[in-house]
Amino acid sequence: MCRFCEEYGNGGKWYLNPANYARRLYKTRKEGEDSLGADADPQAAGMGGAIINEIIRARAAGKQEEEEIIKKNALDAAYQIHFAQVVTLEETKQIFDIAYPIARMTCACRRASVALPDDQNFTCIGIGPGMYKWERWPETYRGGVEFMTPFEAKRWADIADEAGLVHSVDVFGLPYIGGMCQCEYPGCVAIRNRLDYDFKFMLKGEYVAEIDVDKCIGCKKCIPRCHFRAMYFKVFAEKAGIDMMKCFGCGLCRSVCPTDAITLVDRHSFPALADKW
Amino acid sequence: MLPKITVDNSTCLGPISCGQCMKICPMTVFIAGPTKVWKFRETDPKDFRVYARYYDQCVTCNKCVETCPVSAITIATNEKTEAALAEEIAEEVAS
Ligand code: SF4
Ligand code: SF4
Ligand code: SF4
Ligand code: SF4
Ligand code: SF4
Repeated sequence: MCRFCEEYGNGGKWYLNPANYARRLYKTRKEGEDSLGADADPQAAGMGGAIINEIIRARAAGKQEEEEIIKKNALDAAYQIHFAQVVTLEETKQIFDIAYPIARMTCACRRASVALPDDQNFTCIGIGPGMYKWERWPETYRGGVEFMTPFEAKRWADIADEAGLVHSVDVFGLPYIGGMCQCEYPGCVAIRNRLDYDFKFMLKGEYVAEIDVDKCIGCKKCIPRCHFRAMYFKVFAEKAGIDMMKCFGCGLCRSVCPTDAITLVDRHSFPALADKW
Repeated sequence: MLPKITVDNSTCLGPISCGQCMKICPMTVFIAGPTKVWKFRETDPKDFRVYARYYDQCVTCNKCVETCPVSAITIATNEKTEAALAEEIAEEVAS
């Protein structure tokens, strides 16, 4: 269990606790200075554009200490307002049975990184009462939403998994989860910034993948599925390998294994990995 | 050595109507970023421009410069120290 499970999990995984999908429909609008806070600007809050520019500047200038301070300050705020965590396909489907309503919406990251026009970019899933707001004001919220039944949403998750997209939950004002993202490197800003700049806006999942070497036939199908640079091929052993320190527990490698050689194991069953988020 | 990538947004055809540089760059250096931030609303796609956010990852292959139909991109490699250049680029990105 991560710190969010301890605080908001009610004894289980925090993102499987229905209470964390029950956000109020209306927020009180803040006045004065506060109104300019992070949630006043969904664009900046969502993609952390200004923060990543700062991180890149510090890194390009070789100012390592400054880079660490920028990240720390940004993450202290992010873990209260907006961050993501990797979840598995099964969990994604479980969430679609808990959360309501579910809606397809445009993906902010792919708009930024691939410049897809909004009408071709309904690839992200929003959940919870916030979606009524998106439906009501499409001009404010990137073309609005298309509501989905849990059945349709689960099918969408299967399609995303097959295509090789990582599933994750997105927090909008801790502990409320408002998004079920289906993402990839480098299109997803969260994954990209995590991998390229070690900016931990996206946290690892509660699991790590393990390979049963006796079952692995060395077909290599799993290797290109990993977005997190955790997989490699052991040439002489003719087996797939996983760097469990790097693994995010997304399960995409497991979905394609013909011999079921890969299993997801609870991160906490490895003391050395239990605090590696 | 840090390259300085400049996109002339007055000639650029825009990320959504063109976006060739974004597609061709092997390092995905370019992104479509908002030109202004709206309070309580998302930025209109019309208000997006191309910019080289991930310039520190550029491998100076020049593919973006060659592919741009209106020659809006220039890549300068100069004598400035990395620190000075990073500050200069950051200022321009912010402005
Ligand atoms: S986190 Fe993933 S699905 Fe969500 S906006 Fe970013 S890329 Fe799109
Ligand atoms: S090794 Fe498998 S489970 Fe781990 S991050 Fe890579 S694809 Fe996901
Ligand atoms: S897909 Fe399964 S059998 Fe094939 S290399 Fe990966 S772990 Fe081994
Ligand atoms: S020079 Fe090459 S790597 Fe650099 S931005 Fe242009 S296309 Fe990308
Ligand atoms: S290729 Fe040139 S015109 Fe096209 S989006 Fe890039 S900079 Fe603009």
